[in-house]
Amino acid sequence: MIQQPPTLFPEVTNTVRGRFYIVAGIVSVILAVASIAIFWWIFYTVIPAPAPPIQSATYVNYDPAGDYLQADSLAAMNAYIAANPQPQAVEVLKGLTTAEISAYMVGQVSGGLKVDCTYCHNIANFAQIDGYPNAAKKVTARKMMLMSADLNQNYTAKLPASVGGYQVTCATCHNGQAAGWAAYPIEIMNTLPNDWTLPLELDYPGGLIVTGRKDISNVELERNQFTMYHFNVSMGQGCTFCHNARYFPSYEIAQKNHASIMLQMTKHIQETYVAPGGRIADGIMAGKKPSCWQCHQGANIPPGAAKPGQVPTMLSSTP
Amino acid sequence: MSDVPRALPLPSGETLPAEAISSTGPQAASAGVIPFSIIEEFYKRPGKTLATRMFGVDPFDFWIGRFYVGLFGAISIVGIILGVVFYLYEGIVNEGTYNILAMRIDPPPISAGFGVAPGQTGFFWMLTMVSATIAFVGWLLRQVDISLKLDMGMEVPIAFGAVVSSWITLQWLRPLAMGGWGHGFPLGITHHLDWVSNIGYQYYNFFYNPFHAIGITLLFASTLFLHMHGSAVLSEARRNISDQNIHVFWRNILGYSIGEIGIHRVAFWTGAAAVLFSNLCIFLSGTFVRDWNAFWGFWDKMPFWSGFGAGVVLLGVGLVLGRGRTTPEPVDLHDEEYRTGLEGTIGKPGHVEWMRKLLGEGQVGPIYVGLWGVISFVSFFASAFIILVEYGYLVGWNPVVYLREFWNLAVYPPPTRYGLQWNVPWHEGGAWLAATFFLHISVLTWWARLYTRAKATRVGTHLAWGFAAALSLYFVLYLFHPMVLGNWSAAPGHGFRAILDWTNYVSIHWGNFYYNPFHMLSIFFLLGSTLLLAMHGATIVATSKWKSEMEFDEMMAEGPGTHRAQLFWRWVMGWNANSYNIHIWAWWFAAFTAITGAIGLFLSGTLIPDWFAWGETAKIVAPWPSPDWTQFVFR
Repeated sequence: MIQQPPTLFPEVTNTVRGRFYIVAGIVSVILAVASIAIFWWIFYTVIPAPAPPIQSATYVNYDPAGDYLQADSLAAMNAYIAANPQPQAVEVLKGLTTAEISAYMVGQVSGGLKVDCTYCHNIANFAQIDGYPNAAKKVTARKMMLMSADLNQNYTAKLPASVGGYQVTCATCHNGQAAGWAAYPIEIMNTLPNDWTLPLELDYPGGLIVTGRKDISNVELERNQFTMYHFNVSMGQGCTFCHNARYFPSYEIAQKNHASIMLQMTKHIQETYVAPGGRIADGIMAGKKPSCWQCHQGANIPPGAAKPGQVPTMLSSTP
Repeated sequence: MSDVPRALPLPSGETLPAEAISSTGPQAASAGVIPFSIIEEFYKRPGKTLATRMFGVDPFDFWIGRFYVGLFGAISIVGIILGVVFYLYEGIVNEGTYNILAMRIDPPPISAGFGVAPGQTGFFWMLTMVSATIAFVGWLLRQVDISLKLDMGMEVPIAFGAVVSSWITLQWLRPLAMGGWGHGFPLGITHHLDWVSNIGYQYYNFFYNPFHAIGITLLFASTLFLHMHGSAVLSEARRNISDQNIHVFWRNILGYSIGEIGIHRVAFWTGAAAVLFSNLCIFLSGTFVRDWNAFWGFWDKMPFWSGFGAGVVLLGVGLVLGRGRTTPEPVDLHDEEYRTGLEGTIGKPGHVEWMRKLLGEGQVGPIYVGLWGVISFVSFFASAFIILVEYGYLVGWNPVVYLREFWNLAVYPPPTRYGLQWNVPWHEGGAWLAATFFLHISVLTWWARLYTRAKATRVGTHLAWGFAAALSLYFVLYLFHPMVLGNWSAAPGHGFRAILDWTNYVSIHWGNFYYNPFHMLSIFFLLGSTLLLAMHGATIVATSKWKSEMEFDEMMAEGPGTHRAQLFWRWVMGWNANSYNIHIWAWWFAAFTAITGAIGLFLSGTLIPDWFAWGETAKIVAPWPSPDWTQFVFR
C-alpha cells in the first residue's frame, strides 16, 4: 500500500467534493479574468484609441491644415493687401486693417470650412460685392459672422470665466466642412430613434423637468432621457457631469447652468436662423436643425472652438 | 430553538408524541429527550482549526457562551470594535451629527490619489475600511475554523467569501485600478445611496450594464428560489403527507421536481453567483467602460447580421436541434402523476443524467395539464404572440433586423393622450392593452393552478400565497398604479429594454427611488433573501454527508448533519434556526420583497410625488456641503 503524504486539509484535497470546488474555483477565476480581458480587448483594440489632442494657438482641438488654398489665390490676396492697406467695402469686420482681416479670413474662415478664397471672393478684387459667380456666398458668410457675434455676445458671454472663455467661430460648427454634414449622424444615435432631434419647442431652463410632475407620463420621460443621452454622447460625459444624480432636478453642479445656457442658444439658433420665417434665416442653415453633437463632437469643449482672444473683437463675447 | 421538539404527525397518520422524539435520531427514541445543550457539549472539542493545523496551537480555541472565538474570531473582534469606533468618531466628532442615517464617512478626495494623512477628509474612512476588511476576512477564516471543527464542507465560508470578494472589489481592487482611494465606496447609510445614484448615472445608464442585469436577475432568482423552497418545506411540514407529495406537486406544476439536495446546491450557487457578477458589473465601470449605452454598439457590428453570417449561425442551431437523440424508457412512479385527459398529465418521465449528477434528481416530467393550466398557457401564448407579431410590424417584417433589434423592440402602452381609454388604435397601444389583458388572465389562472394542485396533492397552499405576494407587485405595476395615475403609459412596455427604461423613468419621475422607504425595505428583503438562500444552501450542502437535506425527516428527528448545521450558526453568531423555522424566515423574506415593493410603487406619484423631498422632510438625507465631484467626472 502506498503511503499517502500527510496533508493539512484532507477534507479539501482528498474528497471528491473538495476537488470539485477547487476546480470550480479555478474555472471561476479563469472566467473572471477572461471577462475582464475581453472588455480590455474591446476597449483598447477594437475601439480605436482617441487621437492625441492637436496643439494649436487658435483652436481647442482642431487642425486647419490642408491644401485647399490655391497658390494664385494667396498671391492675389498678398497683392491686394499691399495695394489696399485699409479695407474697402467692409460691413462686419470694421476697424481692422486689411492684413488683420486677411489673417482672420485665412486662419478661421478658410481654415474653418477648408475652402479657397474663391469660394466667396472674386480674387481679382476682394472687395467686389456683386456681379461675379460666388457673390451670394459672400452675403451668406456675412450673415454667418453676424450669427457668431450674436451667439458669442448673447450666450457664450453668459458662461462664467471658469469655463475658459472659448469663442464660437466658423470651425466650431463647420469642423472643416463647407456644407453637407449630418447634425445627428446615425452612428452616434445609440439607442435613440434615427429621426430623433432635440425638443427645441420647449422652454429652457425647466422644459425638461419631470420629477414629481403628475401631469406627465413615461412618454415625456422618454423625451427627457433621449435628450439627456444626446447630451451624454455629444459631451463625452456621464450624467454626473451636470447632475448630482441623487436628485436630478437640483442645481448643485455649475455645469447644469451652462447646459441651460447652451440649450437656450440652440433654441435661439433654431428659431432665428433655421426655422422658416426666422429673422435672418434665408436658408443659410439649409433648414438643418442644430444639435449638441454638431459642435461638441464628443468633447466637453467643442474641438473647433476658438481660444480666448483669437476671434476679432466685434465678433467675440466682449466687443 | 426549543430543546423539546413538538409533537408531529407522521406519514402513517399517527401523531408521534413529543417525548418519543429524540434529538439524536429515532433509534434513541426510547431514551427520552436529550437537551440540545448536551448535544452541543459533545461537539465542543479542541483542535482542528487552521491555527492548530499550521502552528500546532490556537491560543483562542475556546467558546464564550455560545460564541466560538478562535484566533480569527479574536482578530475579527478587534477589526469590528475599531471599525465601529472609527465610524462613529467620524460621524459624531468630525461631521458633528448623532443622526446615524445622515452620517457620510466619505473616502479621501480623488486628488489625494493613494495618499492618506491624519486630519484629511477620508482618513477615518480609510481606518474604518481597513478595520472592516480585517473584520470580514477574520470572520471568513473563523467560519472556516468552525467548518473544520464540525467536519463540515467549506460551502458556508465560500458563500461568505463571495460577499467578502465584493467588498474587496469595491474598496480595494477598483480604487487600485482607477488610481485613487477616492473611487472607494462611502460608508454613510443614506449617503451610500447617493454614491450609487451618481456612479450609475456617471456611466450613462447602469441599467444597460449587462453584468448589472445578470446580477439583479440572480438576486431576484434567489428570492424566487428561496420562496419556492420555503413554501415546499412549509407546505409539507406538520401535515400527514410525505415528500413524495411535494415531488408530485412540483412535477405537476413545472414538469420537474429538483429534490432535497438539488435545491440547496442551486441555492448556494445562485446566491454566490449573484455577488460575483455584481463584482464584474462595478469593476468594469470606469476601468474599461464609460458608456454602458454606447457599449452595445458592438452588437450591430457583429458579423452574423450579414446574410452569410446569419446563415452559418442558423445552420449551426439547426444541426444542434436536429441531431439524433434517444428517449429512455418511462418508469412508473405514482398513479396521481399518470392520469390522462384534461385533468391529467402529459409527458412521460424522462431521465436526464447530467441533471441527476449536478442536481441530484434526474427525472423530468410528466407535467399536469388541468383547466387552469390550459387557460394560463393559452392566454400567455396569446400575450406573447401579440407582442412578438407586433415586433415584426415594428421592423417591417425584416427577420434579420427582428433578431438584431430584439432586445430593443417593445410594445408600449398607449401614449399619455389616451389616458385610461381602452379603445386605442392597435399600433399605438391597443396591442399593449390586449397583450397585458391576456397576461393578467395568465398569471391569475396560474395562481389558481398552484392553489388547486396544492389541494389535490395534499400539500399546503404556501406557494400559491407566496405567488400572490409577487402578484401584488405585478398588479400594482401593470394595473393599479397606472389606474390611480389615470394613464396607461405609466406602465412598462413589453420588451427587454423597455423594462430597464421604465425602472429608470419611475425613479427619476418620482424623485429618487433610493429614498423611498418601501423600496429600501424591498431591497433589504431582496438582498436578505439572497443572503438567506446562500446561507441555508451552503449550510445544507456543507452538512449533506449526514443527509441534512432530508429536511422533513430532520424536522422530526435531527441527525448529526442538522446538529452541525445548527451549531455552526450558534457558534458563529450566537443563535440559530432549525430545519423547520429557517423556511419560515425564507418564506417571509421572499414575500416581503414583493409586498413592500408593491406598497412603495403604489405610493409613488399618488401620495408622495418626490421621494428625495420626502427624505429631506424625514431628515434622512446626508448633508453634502462641498462634494468632491472629481470622482464623478471623466478627466
